[in-house]
Amino acid sequence: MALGAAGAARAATITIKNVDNPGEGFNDPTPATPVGGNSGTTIGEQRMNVFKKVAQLWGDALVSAVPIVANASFAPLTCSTNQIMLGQAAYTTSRSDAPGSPPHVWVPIALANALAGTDLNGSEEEIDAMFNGGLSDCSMNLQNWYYGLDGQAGDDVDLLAVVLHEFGHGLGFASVLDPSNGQAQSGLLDAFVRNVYDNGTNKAWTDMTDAERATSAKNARHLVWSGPNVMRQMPQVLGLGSPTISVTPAPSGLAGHLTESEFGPYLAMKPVSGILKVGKVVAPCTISGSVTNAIVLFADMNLCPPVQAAFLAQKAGAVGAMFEDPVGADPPYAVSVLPSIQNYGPVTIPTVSVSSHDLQVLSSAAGTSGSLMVTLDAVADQRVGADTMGRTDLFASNPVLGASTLSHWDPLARPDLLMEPQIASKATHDQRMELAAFRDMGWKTVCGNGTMDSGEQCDLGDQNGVAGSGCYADCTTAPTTSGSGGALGTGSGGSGGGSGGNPGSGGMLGSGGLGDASGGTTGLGTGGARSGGASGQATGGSSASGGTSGSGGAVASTGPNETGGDSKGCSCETATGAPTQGLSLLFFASLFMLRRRRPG
Amino acid sequence: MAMAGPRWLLPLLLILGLPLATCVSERPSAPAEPTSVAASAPEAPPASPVAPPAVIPGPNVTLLPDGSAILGPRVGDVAMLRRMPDGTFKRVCGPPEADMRDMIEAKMRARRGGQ
Repeated sequence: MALGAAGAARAATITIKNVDNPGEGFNDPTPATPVGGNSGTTIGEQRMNVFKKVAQLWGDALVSAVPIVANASFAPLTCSTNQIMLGQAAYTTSRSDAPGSPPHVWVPIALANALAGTDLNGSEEEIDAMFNGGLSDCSMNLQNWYYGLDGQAGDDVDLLAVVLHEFGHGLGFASVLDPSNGQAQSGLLDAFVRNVYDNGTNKAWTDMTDAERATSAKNARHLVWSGPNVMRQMPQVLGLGSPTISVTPAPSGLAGHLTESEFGPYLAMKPVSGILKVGKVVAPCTISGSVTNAIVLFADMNLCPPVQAAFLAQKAGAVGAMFEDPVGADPPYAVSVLPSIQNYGPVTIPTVSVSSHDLQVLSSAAGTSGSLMVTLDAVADQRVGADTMGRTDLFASNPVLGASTLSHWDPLARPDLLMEPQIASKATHDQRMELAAFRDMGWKTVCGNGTMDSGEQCDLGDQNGVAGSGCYADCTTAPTTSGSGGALGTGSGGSGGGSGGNPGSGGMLGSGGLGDASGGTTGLGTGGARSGGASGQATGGSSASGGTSGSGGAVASTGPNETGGDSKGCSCETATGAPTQGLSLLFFASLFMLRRRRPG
Repeated sequence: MAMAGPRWLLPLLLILGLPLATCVSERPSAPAEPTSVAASAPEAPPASPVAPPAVIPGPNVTLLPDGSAILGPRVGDVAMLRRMPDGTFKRVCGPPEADMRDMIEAKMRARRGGQ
């Protein structure tokens, strides 16, 4: 049913309840200079402004007649040697068999209230959030919060993105099921799990035994979201060119799960083949041995950042580089890079990460055979982070990583998605995939202004009255008019940053580019070369000036139709007004970087 | 009244229809191709063929008189900086260490008045 067809859909009201003590957290009186659209003049005020912005972004997009209240704190938290907590948010309770909910299913309380149309839990809050005001102290001042609302966090941690992610969990993007044992909670599955499917065993989680679910949770790159709304939203978000590896002779036990790095060209742009050489980095940061025409496999990257090692390998004649993901799980997280050094070099050879298991398999095989031929390529017509049926990958991991396994998208997704287990340094604020998942779980979402006006094919919000958009009322765009999918990109041209402020969808092989349009709006063209920051500089010798023009370099090119795939459409971006940020990321805190000390 | 139509029609329909019916009934629960999916979410996801279980009482579950139930809070994953062997940080969502989990749970309990 069209959301707005029956009239205005009522956006949810999310209220932040400050539970900090006087003088700390949200009440920190330390003066602050307004930054990135955050007009707060104290640290505490800026923090609260970020939370209020997140409340607005989710609240404007979800439909509920019942107010949602989030307990929140931002006082300094204790930290350990290995982990520094940024923050967390979770739903306070789940309900089963409440009015309006599907029977015998745990439903997050905010959703249960929305479905019931009444406040089932009375005065109790729906979300519990706790963030760390002591980040700077915990990290020896290497990491700081960025309180701007514009996503221009640089090397700092984008608080808005992290809170947006955590509130995503708090609103329901999380299962109560323990993926390590697959056990239903008190005999019931939940609204999230009902959309989980294993494409390796061809079995839905609802049809599995506990033991089968526990096994499936480790079935990396085979766990997918099967809900129809995500399936339709996905092609408008994820780019094409799923990375692959083939090895000759084929070593036994190779999982072959790659994740593309945050630097260098994507494999769809630049597939490579070469003899595998195990890279050896010696102090201070030098590669020993010949790597000419080789694909270099790096482990133990303790001497220099991967981006630097990759560039050294490139200068020495290597055609590609592979890095072990130090987290150690399969699938690997992406190799990350601080935005400030993302264009180091630049690196023009493709780089990927592999799991520790695959590193061992490849290293061993290379040592045995002496000439292991590796080809790094991409499946041109497969979206990056989705299976061949168009279902988006969930994060199945071996080993299971607590509740992170299952309740996130796979880190493979390109561009990075909000609910990945890896937080991008230039993190996304794009909620489209998560809102689609919420619709699959039973949420109603607002698109545009919540009203289907005369002449609209969907709720266009501030584009009211624009006919012929081909939009669906569920905030997705009809494929025929979406503008997604540029032609095979060669040469120059196209727009790296979508015009109109809405995310562009993935083009065909060779298209795309993560382009940031200037002027406060951001277009996401997926699937191609990447650009960084407002300058829109792309790797591989190409550059996009201001995100509005991209010149195809050796590896980066943009399809002519790639510009702002949704720019005419009814994207929930319209409703939320959130600039969409591109690059995925993980951060590396550079120990050698001098940082100003700022309150966490 | 006798059924109209040639005599060979019924066997033919049976021959054609049986495998079709079998195909439909044995179709795996995988969703259809993306191009054919519905525009909006189903009110309730497809039910499992297994009979829905009833909630099992437990320490974190409260059964209500109307037949509904409440599942209490739990600490999930945490957004964190995870220190890597080379001393750098990865920004991940991950399971908190025991100490961190204890701290979070203690603070949450305190917020709920020690419940």
